[in-house]
Amino acid sequence: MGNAAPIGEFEQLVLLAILRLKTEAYGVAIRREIEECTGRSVSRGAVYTTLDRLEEKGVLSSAKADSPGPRTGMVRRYYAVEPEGIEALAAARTALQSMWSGLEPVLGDL
Amino acid sequence: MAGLDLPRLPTALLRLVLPRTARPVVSAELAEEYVDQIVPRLGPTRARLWYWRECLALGAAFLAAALRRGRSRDADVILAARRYRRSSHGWGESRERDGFTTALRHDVRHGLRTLFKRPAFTVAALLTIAVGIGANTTIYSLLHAVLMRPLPYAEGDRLLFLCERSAEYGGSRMGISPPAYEIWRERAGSFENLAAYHADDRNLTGAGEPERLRVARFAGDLFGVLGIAPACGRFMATNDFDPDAPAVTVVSHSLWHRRWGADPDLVGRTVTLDEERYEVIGIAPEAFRFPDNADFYIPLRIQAPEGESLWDAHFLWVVGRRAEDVSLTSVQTEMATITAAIAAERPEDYEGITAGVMPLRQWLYRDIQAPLLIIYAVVCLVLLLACANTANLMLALYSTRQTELAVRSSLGARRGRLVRQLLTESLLLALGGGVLGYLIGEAGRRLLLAGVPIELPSYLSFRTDPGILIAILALVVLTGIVFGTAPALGATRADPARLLARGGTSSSGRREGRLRRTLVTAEVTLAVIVLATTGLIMQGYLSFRAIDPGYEKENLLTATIFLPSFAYPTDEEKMAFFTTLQERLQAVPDVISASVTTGLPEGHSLRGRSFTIEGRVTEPGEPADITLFWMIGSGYFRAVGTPLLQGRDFTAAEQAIGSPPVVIVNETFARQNWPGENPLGKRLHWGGVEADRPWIEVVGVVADITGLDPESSSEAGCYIPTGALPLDRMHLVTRTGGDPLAVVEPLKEILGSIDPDLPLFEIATMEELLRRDLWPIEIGTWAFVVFAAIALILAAVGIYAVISYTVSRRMREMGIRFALGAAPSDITRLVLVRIGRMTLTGVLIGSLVGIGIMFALSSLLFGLAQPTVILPLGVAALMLAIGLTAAWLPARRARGVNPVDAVREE
Repeated sequence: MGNAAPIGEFEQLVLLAILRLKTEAYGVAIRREIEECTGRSVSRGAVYTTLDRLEEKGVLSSAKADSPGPRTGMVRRYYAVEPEGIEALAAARTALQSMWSGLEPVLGDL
Repeated sequence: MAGLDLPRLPTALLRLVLPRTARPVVSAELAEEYVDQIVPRLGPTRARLWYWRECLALGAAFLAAALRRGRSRDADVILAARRYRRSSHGWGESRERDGFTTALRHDVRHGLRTLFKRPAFTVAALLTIAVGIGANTTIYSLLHAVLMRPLPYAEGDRLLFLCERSAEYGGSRMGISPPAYEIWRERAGSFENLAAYHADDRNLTGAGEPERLRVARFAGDLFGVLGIAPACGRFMATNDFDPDAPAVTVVSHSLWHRRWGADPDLVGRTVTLDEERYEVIGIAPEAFRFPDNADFYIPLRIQAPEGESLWDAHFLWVVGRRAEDVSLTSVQTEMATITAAIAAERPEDYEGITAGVMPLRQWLYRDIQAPLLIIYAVVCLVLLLACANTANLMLALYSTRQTELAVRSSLGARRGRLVRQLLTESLLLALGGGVLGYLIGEAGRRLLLAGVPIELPSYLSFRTDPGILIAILALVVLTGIVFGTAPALGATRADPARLLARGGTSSSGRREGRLRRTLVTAEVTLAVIVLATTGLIMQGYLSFRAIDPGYEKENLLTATIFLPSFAYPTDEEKMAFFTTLQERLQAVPDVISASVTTGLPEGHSLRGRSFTIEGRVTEPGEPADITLFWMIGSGYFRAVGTPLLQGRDFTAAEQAIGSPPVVIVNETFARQNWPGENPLGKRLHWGGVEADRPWIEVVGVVADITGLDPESSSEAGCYIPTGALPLDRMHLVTRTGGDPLAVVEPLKEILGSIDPDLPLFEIATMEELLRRDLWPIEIGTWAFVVFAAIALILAAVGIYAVISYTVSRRMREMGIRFALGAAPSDITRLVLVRIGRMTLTGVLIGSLVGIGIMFALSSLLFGLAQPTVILPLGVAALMLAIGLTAAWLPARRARGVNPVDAVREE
């Protein structure tokens, strides 16, 4: 599992959303991306607090930038996943995959 | 984010909660989404709701995250112990090094965490406080506007209102006569400035629809007294008051906007009021409509008609600005002296007349001050109740935290420190409840004001200013201290060693029990007082609703028409106008009956007239009898719905001018003048016995129209046909099958086709007219009912919480009682007797105080019912029933205790 801190399910969703959004990953977009992909509604507070937490853990980095809109003074914070984040995601996927393996016949019945 | 129109309160709340690092970005992104997507999609109102919800949810999420993060360092005791070990000198120094702000921050954090950990307690306490503060805020904001906000005139506290008081009419206020005003003005030295005014209505004609508007006529420098400057043009100069000066007027700001679209060229143009032309010389400043929501100001030029005196024309009200170094008392003394001198000079006119001097504010708010203060007293009681309730909740909370307090205390925390910690929690609760309560209060105030069916006076303003906010904040802090102190002191009193030795589960003994019982008794007392007061007011309201006014107020449209004498100089023309109007109106579908009258059933413009019945013998010098009288058109009684008891209505021929005079009398008139006789066919004439007037025959008797005024009683009255004396000012009454307002348009069309220059004014349904008169009673009563319901609920919840808590704390005792052979009914009785005693004490004290208050109120408030013994008894019974019901559930739980479990649990 390497050195990466273990991450929870919602944290994985957030990290994946950031990766999918590439350079457009800021709070509102991340939330929208998760909602669109998973089909479930996500609270704004959960997204922001998770982003904070992940950044504290060192798996995310962020930079402030002006919003591209016509208004001045509107800022956004854009996020990027750090190598530690990729590592944590990979670890999580490996863990899940190994738990899944061999269960296909059982789950196929369900 | 400058320039964005974001709801300010939630934005501020959110910024308060967000960590500094997240603050700019999170709120900016939220704002962007709100402005760019949500407002266009949902519209402004729903978007605001969305914004509120998002801010609250975001704030809650960040708070919860912060608390989660703090939880690892949660246990205060561990923290304290660790710090103690680190510091070689022990507690003392470390605490000093912390400093006050650090300690405060620590207290606040710890308090927030404690409250978040007990959501049920926190929500209950917050709601209780919010309701108390909310009710208080609503009424306080009204009270502030009435009692504390300065009048919107320069140095308003120096403005005085002056009038005359007449001993003959029980000291009631009346206007001053013009010659007396002149003397006041010449002789009074206490004033910088004096002005007299009188307001009446005139027809504004010319461009646009004719309107009946309020015109203030004044003498002296009215605008100077009040200290205002014109928005446009100028105010009157001294020579504008000369008898032969050109007629000029000043227009109100609101009329200027409404009627002329704020056209600056209005100044210099002329307007026509009752066919007289006035040059507009200026516009009054915004929101200035003193007196009586006036729209025009014109100079009052007083000229007595040839050979008549103005000494008995008491129609002027006076405002004055007292000089800076003169007190109100010395003004009163001076005016009393001057008026006494006038009375000595002209005893025939001024016998028994004195001067009335009071601050202008007191005059303007004379009707609402007392009721508002009473309602405020009631909401203060409700707030006290809420405090008692919260204190009870705090007590229950602290008794579950005794281990924590004991450990902290044994680790060296001084009692003062612990009390401060607990008080911080109370204040946090109070602040949270205060914010919620403020929102409730604002909504309540809007709701209350929305129920006011009349145009509020221009000097009354209800905006929220820092003064109100500071007062509410002070109230909130006081609330927190009131409900927090006793429980905090009680909870920290216990001896930690004993407590810890006993495992921290013991009840904290007698003292706390006594405090709890006192609180419940206090709650019951307060609730009974509020209930008794409300009961008295409800009783008055209900008896008032039960009055049969003598007419049917439903489906009745009223309006007023004024026929100017230049357009309708003769009686024939007036009569022809009213007859045509009535006939055409009668033809409108849905109109059941239309008629005219000189006085509406609830009208105040009653006229009295002396009369003599046939065969009456009088002593010389004995005054003639006086009766009220009304002129009515045909079909009047059918229109207002008053039953004809005997005889018949007037015929069309009797309505015509010059026909033989006939009269219809009301029941009281018939009873007073012909007791036991049939009044039909009897005769009377106007004037005294000696008057040589034609006899008038009684052709009918109708029921009394007493109206809804609880003070009015049946008075003798006569109805005569309009044709006997057509007046220029008549009220139109129209009974309709459906909605009376649907007839307004046809009515205006008919009027326009007869005479396009005539305004139709005071258009309203009878029910609307009544509402305008009675709204203070209606709104006041409902406010009382709402506050009483809150008081009742708070008291019931308080009793329930205490009993339920006590029972759960004394399970062991119950178990032992069961084990020793007590029957379940004994246990129930034990619990009920205990609560019964507390409730009964509260009911007794409350009833005694309540009865006192009821008597005080019934003498203070106009038209209230006399207090009866039944009311306090009923309230007492209700309270007792509620107390016992609230105690019933916990008592039943006590019955079901399994002795073995109960003893083992402890």
